[in-house]
Amino acid sequence: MGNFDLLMQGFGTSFTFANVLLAIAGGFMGLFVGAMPGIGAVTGVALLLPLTFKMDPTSAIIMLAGIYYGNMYGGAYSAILLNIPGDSPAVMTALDGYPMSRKGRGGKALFAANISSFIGGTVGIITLTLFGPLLAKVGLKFGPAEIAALILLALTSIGWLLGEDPLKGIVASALGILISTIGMDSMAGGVGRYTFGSVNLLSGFSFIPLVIGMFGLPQVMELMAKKQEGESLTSGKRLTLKESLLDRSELKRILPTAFKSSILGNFVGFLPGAGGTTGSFLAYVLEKKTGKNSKEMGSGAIEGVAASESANNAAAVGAFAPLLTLGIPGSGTTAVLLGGLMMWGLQPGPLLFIQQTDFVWGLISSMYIGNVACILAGLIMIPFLMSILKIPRGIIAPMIVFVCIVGAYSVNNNMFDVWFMIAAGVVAYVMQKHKYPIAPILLAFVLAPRFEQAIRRAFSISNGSAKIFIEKPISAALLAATAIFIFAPVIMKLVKRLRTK
Amino acid sequence: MDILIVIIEIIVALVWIQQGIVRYQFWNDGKPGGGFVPVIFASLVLIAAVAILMREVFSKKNKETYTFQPGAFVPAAAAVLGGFMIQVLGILLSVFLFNTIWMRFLSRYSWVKTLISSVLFTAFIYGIFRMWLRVPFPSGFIFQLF
Repeated sequence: MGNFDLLMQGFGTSFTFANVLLAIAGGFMGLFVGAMPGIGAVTGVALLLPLTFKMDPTSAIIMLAGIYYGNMYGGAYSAILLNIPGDSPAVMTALDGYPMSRKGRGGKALFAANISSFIGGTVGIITLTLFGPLLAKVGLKFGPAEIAALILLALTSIGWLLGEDPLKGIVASALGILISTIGMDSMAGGVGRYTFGSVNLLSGFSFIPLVIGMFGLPQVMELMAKKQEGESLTSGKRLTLKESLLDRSELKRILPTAFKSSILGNFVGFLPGAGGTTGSFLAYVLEKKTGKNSKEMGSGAIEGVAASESANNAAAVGAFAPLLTLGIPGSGTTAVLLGGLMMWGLQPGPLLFIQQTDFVWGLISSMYIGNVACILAGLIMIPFLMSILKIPRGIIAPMIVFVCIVGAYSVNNNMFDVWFMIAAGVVAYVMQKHKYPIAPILLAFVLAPRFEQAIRRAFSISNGSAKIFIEKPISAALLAATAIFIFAPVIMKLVKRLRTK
Repeated sequence: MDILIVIIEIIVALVWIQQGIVRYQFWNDGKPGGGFVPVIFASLVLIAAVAILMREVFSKKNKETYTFQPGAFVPAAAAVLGGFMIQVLGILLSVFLFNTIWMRFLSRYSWVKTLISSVLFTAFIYGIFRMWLRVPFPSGFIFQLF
């Protein structure tokens, strides 16, 4: 039976009234939880997992997929409205989404995020339907050396691309990596590293308190510095739903970006361990390097929101391929889903596609339903979300501060995360004031553990020989791209100087 | 202030390099040790920070000066206060008091608006985090006494 017939058979399983309802309910819950600063996709799925305990596996995974999907959509909302990314991939969305809100274009940013997420999801699902098992095999060719080279490419470009000063960008990225090294060294049997005798530091710093602290708190600090209590977040600009709809020229701007980024994000999603953050970041970099409005990016370009959101959603779907076909989670959230699958007695791997066709194709078909449910839910929520932008700063400031506190607390239910969040906020505010970009710290913090694990594994495989990175064509090509990325601007500058002389 | 930040960066980098080499080992048994990645990236911080320091010291360009705004640190101080309030009073009472104090005395809203907003916000926090997401809220030191 071909993939299309199997998909139709899957629709037969998933397209029941109860399952459609579960997909929609999951989408709504995911959107809401994803939009809550401090919850994020991993925590959201983990917190809502118990809701599915009493369901049959197919219905349960359909609902969880809806939650997962909704989370991916929702993560962008708090990034756009409050400059607090709901999850790590939304860090890139905040770079342009929040400046758009400040310029009174928050509604357009939300529409662009929803439409791009839908495109990303759709491209991802179609690719998963057609080539899922095949692409998972390609993904398997990405061993530790290739993954390390891919993440190194991402890490290298972070510092150079974000912020006005490349040197400060490099410092910020490298500091993010250093922060991530605090805690247990999993490769050395769980020995504590850079804990300086503190028990609290043994488990390392969590991403959520760091992101809330570095994005959320400085936001309120900035508001208070300007003492414009009566103004709303959009500086008093009138916001109507009609004005927030995307016009034809804006749609023309986001569609090519969204499709291009979806393909890239989807491919990154297929790679075991690369994740949506790498996908959204690489798509943003690609857009900044090749897009027509690259100069505007970082200060409120709609293409920035489209690139990040479409790649993030396409990667989210892509991560299902290694999960289902190989049992390897492509992201933190799919790791939680893997736990759910195993709890229901399903063993992900190549045999899952043969032995559990109803389940696998029921799940894939439910993604189509979930994706439509999420865009509808997202569009319904936009007017409500836009009303947040109209709340005066004097009212919303204490609320943001307390949501930051509760959000940080709820990750591990301890106060240490709250103190860390506040400290991170003050440090980020001071750094921002001295022209250090903050996003590289967060992105490097997320990518560094995967990079470290991959590079150390690669060296272990090769008995300490660096040849492993050059002998393998994929890693060699990625390293060459990294070298070009580092040296090209320097060489270009030298050539320019020589020419002017 | 710029120079102070750079000096802190240099100190952090040196500590990471020293600990990485001496304690966690850069290279061990023919493969990277726990200090491998930290040492490489701490060295990068060190090099970049020294370059920034040189630029700051020797640059003849007019530097933008940052003026310290004490008002900006009010939210951070309030967050610290909020943290202590949680430990003493528990989250729910703290949300209510925190929002009320801020809105009434910092934002100078009327008591009616302040109280309505505080009640709604407390209900929101309780509904989402406690009831729906089942986050176990601390009850607070005072309530534990009873």
